[in-house]
Amino acid sequence: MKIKHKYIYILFALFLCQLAFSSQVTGQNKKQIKEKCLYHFDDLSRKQTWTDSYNAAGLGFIDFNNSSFIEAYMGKGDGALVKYNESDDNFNFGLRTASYKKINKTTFFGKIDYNNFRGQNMTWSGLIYPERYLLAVADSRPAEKRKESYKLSGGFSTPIATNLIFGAQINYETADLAKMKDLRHLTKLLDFEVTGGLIYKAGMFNIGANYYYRKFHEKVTFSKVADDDILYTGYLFKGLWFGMFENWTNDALNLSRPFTDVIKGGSVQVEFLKEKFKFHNEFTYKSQEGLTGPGADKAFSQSEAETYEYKGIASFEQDHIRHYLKVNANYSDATNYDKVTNQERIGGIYVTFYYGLNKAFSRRNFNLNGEYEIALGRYKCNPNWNLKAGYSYTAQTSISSIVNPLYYTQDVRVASAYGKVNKNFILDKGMIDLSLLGAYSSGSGIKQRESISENAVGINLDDVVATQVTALLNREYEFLTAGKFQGEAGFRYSRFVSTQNTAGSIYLDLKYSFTKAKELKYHDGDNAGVFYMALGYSF
Amino acid sequence: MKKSLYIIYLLAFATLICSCQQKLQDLIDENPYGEGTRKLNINLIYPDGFESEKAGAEIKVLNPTNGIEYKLYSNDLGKASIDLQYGFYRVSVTDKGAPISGAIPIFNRSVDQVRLIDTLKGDLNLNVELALSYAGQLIIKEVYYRGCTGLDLKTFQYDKYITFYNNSDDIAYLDSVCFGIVEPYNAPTNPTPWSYLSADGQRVIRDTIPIIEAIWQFPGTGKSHPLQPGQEVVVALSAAVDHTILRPMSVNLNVPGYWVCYNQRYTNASYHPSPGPNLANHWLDLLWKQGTSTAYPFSTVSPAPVIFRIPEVGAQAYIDNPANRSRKPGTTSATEYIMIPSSWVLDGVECFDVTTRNKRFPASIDATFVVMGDADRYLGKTVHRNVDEEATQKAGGRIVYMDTNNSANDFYVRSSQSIKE
Repeated sequence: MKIKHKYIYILFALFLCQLAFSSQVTGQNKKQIKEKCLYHFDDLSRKQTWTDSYNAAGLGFIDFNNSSFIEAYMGKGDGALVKYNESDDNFNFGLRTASYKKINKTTFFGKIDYNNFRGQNMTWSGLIYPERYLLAVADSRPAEKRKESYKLSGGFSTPIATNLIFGAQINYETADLAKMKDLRHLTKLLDFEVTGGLIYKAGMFNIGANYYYRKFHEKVTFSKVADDDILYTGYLFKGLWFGMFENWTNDALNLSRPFTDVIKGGSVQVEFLKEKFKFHNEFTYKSQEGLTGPGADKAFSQSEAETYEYKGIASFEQDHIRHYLKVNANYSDATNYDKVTNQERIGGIYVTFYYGLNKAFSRRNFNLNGEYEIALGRYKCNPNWNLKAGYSYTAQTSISSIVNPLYYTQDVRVASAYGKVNKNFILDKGMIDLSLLGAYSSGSGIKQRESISENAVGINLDDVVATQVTALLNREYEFLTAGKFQGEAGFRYSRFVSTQNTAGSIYLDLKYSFTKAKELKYHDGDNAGVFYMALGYSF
Repeated sequence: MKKSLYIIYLLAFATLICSCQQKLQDLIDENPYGEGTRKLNINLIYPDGFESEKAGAEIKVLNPTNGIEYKLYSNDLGKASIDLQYGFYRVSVTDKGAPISGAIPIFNRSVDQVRLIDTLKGDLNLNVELALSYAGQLIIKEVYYRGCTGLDLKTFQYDKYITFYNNSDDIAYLDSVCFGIVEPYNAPTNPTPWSYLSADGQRVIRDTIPIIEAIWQFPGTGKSHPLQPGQEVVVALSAAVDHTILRPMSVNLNVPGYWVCYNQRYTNASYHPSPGPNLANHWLDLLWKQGTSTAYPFSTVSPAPVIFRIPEVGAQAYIDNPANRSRKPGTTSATEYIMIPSSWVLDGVECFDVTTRNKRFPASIDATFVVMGDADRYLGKTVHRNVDEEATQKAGGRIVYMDTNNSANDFYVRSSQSIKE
């Protein structure tokens, strides 16, 4: 077996040498290749200072005329090192396309992504994006889940006066997720995001501001189809895996409910420009309000959150060497309240009594990401070498207070670092991209600490018990804090396709990433692998 | 200038990181109940002559929305306090007094819908007037209503029964004892319409209880059917036959001495086949039947059975008098219910499937409830009285069951029917 591996390494090394040699030869003939054939859509998009901004007016600052791609893709994931609600055996395929296009002085952006997902052994969440909410509904029977999603984005940027640019963008996602066995659920997602903003060009500065609105809505409907007497446990989690667990019936523990969140906010941007140096800064504030249940006086719970974000991008681009430094930081403070109401029938009329909001769960989160990237080579759209290194730090504290006078706190800190290298080889009629990524993450903290309120005088605490699924607490904490190595290798072959009026490339993209953790106690396995393949046309 | 700008930028960033870290730490250092709670001050008011019993009464405060129950004990002044989050609570108090001429006085009261509202200024003071009752002679010992599962794995529920027990030292007579169930059949999700809001905003269940569908009565001339101390009698609520032949998890209800709720006005032969030969002359009289139901609808989820005597004009005359009937408050339904004063009630037990249900009995009959959830369905389980070890010892070994008119204390969920033993 070792000998076989040795041959593979030798063959791979020879192949790389051959590629390096041929790239030197073909490099001399580059003039014959239209530049558009060399475009890498994602890479090009990432190296702009405004494409990641909330202000769509910044689309006008892209430094290329147009770039598009359309691709069919598929992914296969295996392995137990996944989040509690994810599948250890899943498959997805889809079709997506995206495009930047400048027409006269107006820049357009559009994106469509259809995805079809099937995952085995999925449980513990009735929601598609459970991490967005501070409470969750779930059942505990693993089964296959199927999801179809559509993502659409459209934006434009156009000058409306001298040195004044207006832009707007809409992002829309809709998805259906269905669990295929009892206790089954159907979850429908609708996510709508719109931004609109202005940028004023003032000499060495670009100054912008935009408004931000987002509404996301998930409606979960649990049901039992089989005509049998099997009882399933339903879970209403209210943070740190505390909550209510009962035999599921629509009477006793009705888990079916809508989750609706509205986020409003805005950003200001300041970009400093000096020759080949750009320094883009964006400060964002978001205010979020959410509720579950039918709404108004029938809401079951309501939440509020505030988020502060900072994004900084510095770029220094010379002819053959380009530097990019990105820093992102965000802080969020979110609280979920149980809305206590009940209905009473008085004189034949149902009257809703409102009692108040009881704080059930709070979470504060701080993220800091720094990334340095250097690209070498003549073409920005196609660097010969691209090297990237990053560091990420996440701190999160939580407090659960659903069982007065007890309360529970959690403190998690996770740090990760990664490095990635890409090498491009240009051939006669095409090109090859190879990539390697290595990452390590590890965390620490306090999984859970129980405290008693100082107001708990005269209460016999032996009878006050908070129900919790500790297996999930252990698993989630372990997933976040365990030492994890990740490696990823990628291969992409592009075949140039040029006519008199068009230029582009057909490509095949292959990636395999593998994650392995050490010393796991609460997972069924310590690794996970994801294989990804895409066949597309870039133009 | 440029350098200083970079330094300011870095310093601002470092300050931002530090302040975020501090905010995270602040969250886990705070007491989440510091705001959003109100103090409930409970003041127990004992009946005249029993004021000396005030200390040490057990007070339970239940939050029906999450099922958490707080247990407190009154001080020498009959007072207790607790800090609670906003919501509606059920406060129940049970206390036993010193025996008077051998009879043990019981003090009970359950107050539903104790409201702690965010607009409340200051504390909420709750006066709880305790109702006096005495431990009963004839009690409900066991109720089997959740059904079982047959060998064919099909669920079965025609084998329900209830057991009455003589818990005293004297002979009890079953003659004229009536049996019924309180409206609604299942414990309601909303407060029972047979209740009202008192002047201080607390919900009070009426002292006269509505019997639904039917009233059954033991026949006899007064001393025809004696029940010796420690003796019990089983009443089949549906089919009084031997069910164990096809369903080992079920029970044999065709046993000499058992009784049955059987009358040919109930024509559903699955529920009410002809009773077994061992129950000849042990059919309860059907004093009253309302509606067109073909089977006696005893809930398999959360019944509220009750036994009582109608002392004054005789049971039939009382029932026939329209003044003793009532329609459900707040509805236009023509369905009538026989109204029985709680002082006539010998015993009753409030059964819930989940704690979030609302009560049907006033505290003088049953201050709380016993819970048998859906997980216990079709397993042959029953609700059964706890043995009062101390009283049993005093009675020379004759089993005396707990009788505090507080089902949460008095009953437990038994894993199988006691009559199988």
